[in-house]
Amino acid sequence: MSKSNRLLRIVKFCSFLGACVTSLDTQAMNPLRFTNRAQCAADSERPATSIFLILDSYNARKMIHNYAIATGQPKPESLTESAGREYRLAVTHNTLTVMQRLLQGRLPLLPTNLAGNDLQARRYRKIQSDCSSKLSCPLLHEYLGQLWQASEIKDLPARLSRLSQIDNFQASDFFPLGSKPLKPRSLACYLVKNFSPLQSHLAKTQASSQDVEEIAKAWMNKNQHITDCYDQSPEISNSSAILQIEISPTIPNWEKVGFDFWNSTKIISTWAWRKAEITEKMSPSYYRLFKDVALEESMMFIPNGCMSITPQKCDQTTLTENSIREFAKIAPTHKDHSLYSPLGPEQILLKQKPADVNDDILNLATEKSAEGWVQRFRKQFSAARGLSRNRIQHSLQVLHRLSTSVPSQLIKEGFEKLLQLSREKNKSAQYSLYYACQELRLSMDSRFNFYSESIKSTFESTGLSQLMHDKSRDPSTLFVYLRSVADTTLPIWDLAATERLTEPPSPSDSKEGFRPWAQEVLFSEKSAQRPDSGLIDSVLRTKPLALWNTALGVVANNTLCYDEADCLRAAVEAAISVNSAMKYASAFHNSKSINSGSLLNPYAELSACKIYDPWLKTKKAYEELFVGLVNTALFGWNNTPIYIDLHRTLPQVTSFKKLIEDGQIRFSPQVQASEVRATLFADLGPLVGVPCSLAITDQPKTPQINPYFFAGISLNYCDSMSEVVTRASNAQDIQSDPQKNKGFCVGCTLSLISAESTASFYSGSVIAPVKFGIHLFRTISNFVSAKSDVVNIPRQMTVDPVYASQVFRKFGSIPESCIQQIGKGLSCYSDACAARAADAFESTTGIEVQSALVMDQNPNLSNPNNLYVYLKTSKCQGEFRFPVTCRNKADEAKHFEIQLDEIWSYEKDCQKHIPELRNLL
Amino acid sequence: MTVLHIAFYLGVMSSSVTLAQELRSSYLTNSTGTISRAIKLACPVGQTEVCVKQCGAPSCLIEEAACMSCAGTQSELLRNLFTKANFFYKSSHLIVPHAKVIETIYQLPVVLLEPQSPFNFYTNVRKGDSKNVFQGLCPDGSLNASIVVGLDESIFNVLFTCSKFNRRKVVRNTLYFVSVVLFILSSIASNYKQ
Repeated sequence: MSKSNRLLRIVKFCSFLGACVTSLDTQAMNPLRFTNRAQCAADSERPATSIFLILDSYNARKMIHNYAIATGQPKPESLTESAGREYRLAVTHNTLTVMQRLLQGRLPLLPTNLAGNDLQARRYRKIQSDCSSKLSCPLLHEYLGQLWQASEIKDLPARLSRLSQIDNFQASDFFPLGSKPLKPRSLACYLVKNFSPLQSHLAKTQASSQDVEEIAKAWMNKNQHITDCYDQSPEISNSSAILQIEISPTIPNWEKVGFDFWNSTKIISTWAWRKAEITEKMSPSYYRLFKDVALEESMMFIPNGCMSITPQKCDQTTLTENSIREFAKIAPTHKDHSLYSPLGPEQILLKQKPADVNDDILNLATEKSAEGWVQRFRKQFSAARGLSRNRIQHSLQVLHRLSTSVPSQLIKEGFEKLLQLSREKNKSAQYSLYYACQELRLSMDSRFNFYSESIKSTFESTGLSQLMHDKSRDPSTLFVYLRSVADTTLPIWDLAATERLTEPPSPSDSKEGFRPWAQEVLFSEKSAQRPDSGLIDSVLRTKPLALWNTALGVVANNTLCYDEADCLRAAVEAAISVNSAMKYASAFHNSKSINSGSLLNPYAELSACKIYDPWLKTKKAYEELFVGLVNTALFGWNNTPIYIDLHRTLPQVTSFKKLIEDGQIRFSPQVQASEVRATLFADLGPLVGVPCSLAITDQPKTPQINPYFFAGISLNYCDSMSEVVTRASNAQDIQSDPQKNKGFCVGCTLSLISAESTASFYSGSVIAPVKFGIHLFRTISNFVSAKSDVVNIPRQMTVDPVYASQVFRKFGSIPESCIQQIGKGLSCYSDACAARAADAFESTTGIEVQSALVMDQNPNLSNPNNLYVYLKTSKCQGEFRFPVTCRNKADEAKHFEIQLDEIWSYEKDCQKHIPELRNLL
Repeated sequence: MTVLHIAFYLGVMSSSVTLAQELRSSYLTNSTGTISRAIKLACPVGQTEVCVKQCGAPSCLIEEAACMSCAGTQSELLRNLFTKANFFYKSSHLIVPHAKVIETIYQLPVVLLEPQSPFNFYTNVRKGDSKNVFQGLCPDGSLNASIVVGLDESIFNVLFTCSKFNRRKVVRNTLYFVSVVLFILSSIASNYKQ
């Protein structure tokens, strides 16, 4: 089957749903892009052309099930299943319709970056700015409604006129962005039944011939692995689904507008779900109920590979969204999301070790079905989300209740009583004072700054206020209460400590008296139970000091805290809980848009935060080549007994500076800059007559004494002095100053080059040819070695499943000789030039090429601009001929050009097809 | 069709014998087969004038507005209501005129919440967790309680009610404001008074 069958073929069928839906053919797939670590990191800056839409139908199905039970439906399970199918199809169609309208230029692209001065959509920018801190934005809904109405206008000039009235949109805000109209086969969609070799680029960094063969076989049996997105077969699960949605990678200017495309899809599709008529057409019975579904928490976009859906920035939103990947793993790398004292996503970045990429990091292959994987992911993610939401909600209520019913003055008076009782040797009072004050100091004592600054910024951030329904309440007022409690209580603790009145219980059971958060911080573990009541008996009161609802009296679950010390500890615990949950709020509390983290690329955030530079090794290799050549030119050809080795250290991010920009937390990497360290080698051989040398360096490690590449019999002595200073400003901010190093080596080596150097010196010869050769050899060898780094020098391979299956059918296997062409996303022909010509022809016409041969028009000239390709197809017995330009055997696409409109054939049976083909070309 | 966010609510509870209309959550299927959530207002025999006045029949089905993202777990307000409403809110013993409640249901976008509501994603309906919570709102210990939540896209200009009734036997339906114990809904009463 040729690639043209990916054409967005409109297959209309009036289903049982009573609506005519558009179906997409699933006869071709974007090439699989295999990348190593460096290329994967570099790809994170590019917009994805293939994504997974993960759909969880739990919310919709639960709602329908409730309806079935409430109305006494005879078969509630069956009704839930059929409604679940309608829901899946409705979400699919809603999303694809929006994407289709964007690609057809019927809807404008809504920009991701709203800061640019050249932004045309100024009204959109203002609306987004006004609504940034609001839970709901009627103005945006109205705006999107106007755009949607305009997109219904069929007459192009009238539509453009209307859209420009709405928001001054220009031609550059629409597809197509170039002069040529987009090809109709720009969008494809598949429902993934199971993860197979068709997603093998997520589990391997390169493809061998065996891997390509697996891909070819999987494509030939694709019905076992993927199906049409609108498939209504009973065996398709409706409780959850993974759709693989693909944009043709050949769309012009995709790199420029790809992020805007996904941004627009996310914004418009959630609006359309509730306001447009798509849902109604797809599910006439249930569409009104479906509009209630929290769609934003029911679906997720994940890039199918290393590219991204949203621009990767070093900010809290990006890092937090990407951290969701932990919940898709069987064994999460860390459990920071559930801790009371989480490091936060930025500190996790600094601490994590170099990870593999495309190594099935999300354990996709461990489940038999794609649905099973979604279920596992959903279960873990929902549990963490529920924990986070409950923690924030409960803690805010605790703080509010305490701030209105237990004033700081009351707590102060309670602590004064505790102090007095402690002076009277009351053990319970001492324990009570001890635990309350320890927890208060740990959290709110600004002299230690473990959490107080962090809590302050959390309560003053716009993120927290967005979660609160009551906009008249500023969460910072809760922090004012906390501060007031701390400021009035801490002096009492200081006094008690001075008088040695605070006594902890015995070390063996002191831990049990702390609240779980403090146990976690102090002992790196926590018990699930509340503090041991035997250690912290209320000594001040016989009845609870604060109740949730005073009207209910002392009943189960209505007690908030027992006495002043207990109330203070409850407030502190609530503050710590809010502070910890807000570290990952963007992942769990994002109710305004669909999550779209780069879950399959752990280097996306590392690259965004400059911890990993995908091009660094490449640049370093070229730098060292340059230095080596200069050294060779200066010292290699003569008998000068000096050699200078320049070594550049890698820049290193040591910490992050937290900045607030437009209400968002951004992390500014603090980089220990790259330094050029020099080592001076002095070859003493020519001077003292023995093959000895001296090396002096400021490198962190002692230098290699052998500067001449070939080791011989050596006797070395090296020494180094280093000094490291560590500073800590708070619990999360421990920094080390750059190492200060000095080192030297003295060594004697009997080797070919030292002997040659010594000999040439004593012979009085100015030229040292052997030394020159070895210097040059060493430089080039080092360069080749550096460039062959399979991990940190960007490498990629693209394998087209359709072409792979063509080759497999043709040869019965994947010949090793074809891997190079297949790895460039081509089929296998006599050379890359012919393969590119066949690809261009097939992509444009949809006609499968059977053979391709490139020949010189005039073999004597061998001019790359003077070539013709002869293509044999299923259309006719003869061959079609096209002029082509191939440089460097068309190893790169940019070196290839084909003039399809100059189609010609010598055979009559082919000539008769030329007019028809010209229309396609 | 307008889809609205939950804005806030005020509670009204039944405790006297002054009115006998029943309010309960229901579903409505229109002539084209479209199913919607609805509020059923039923008047007992001999006291049908209120219902007849509203819809010309002894019982009325009032379609509820779409409630944006309410079928899910992301609404902090719904989480509060289904899990801890009895702790966070209390009866203020201020009686809301019954006509005002009916007027509200007809004229403003509202949804009626019951423990087994389709929007209850927060507690185990079968165990009746939310039933205890809702009952805790009723000062007279009635068996069934429900809350009417007002919706609006522009927050802070809608009012709400909470009503309580005995589903099997409509006995009384006096309506009270619910005072807000905690802060998230603290501005409701003042808005209503305005």
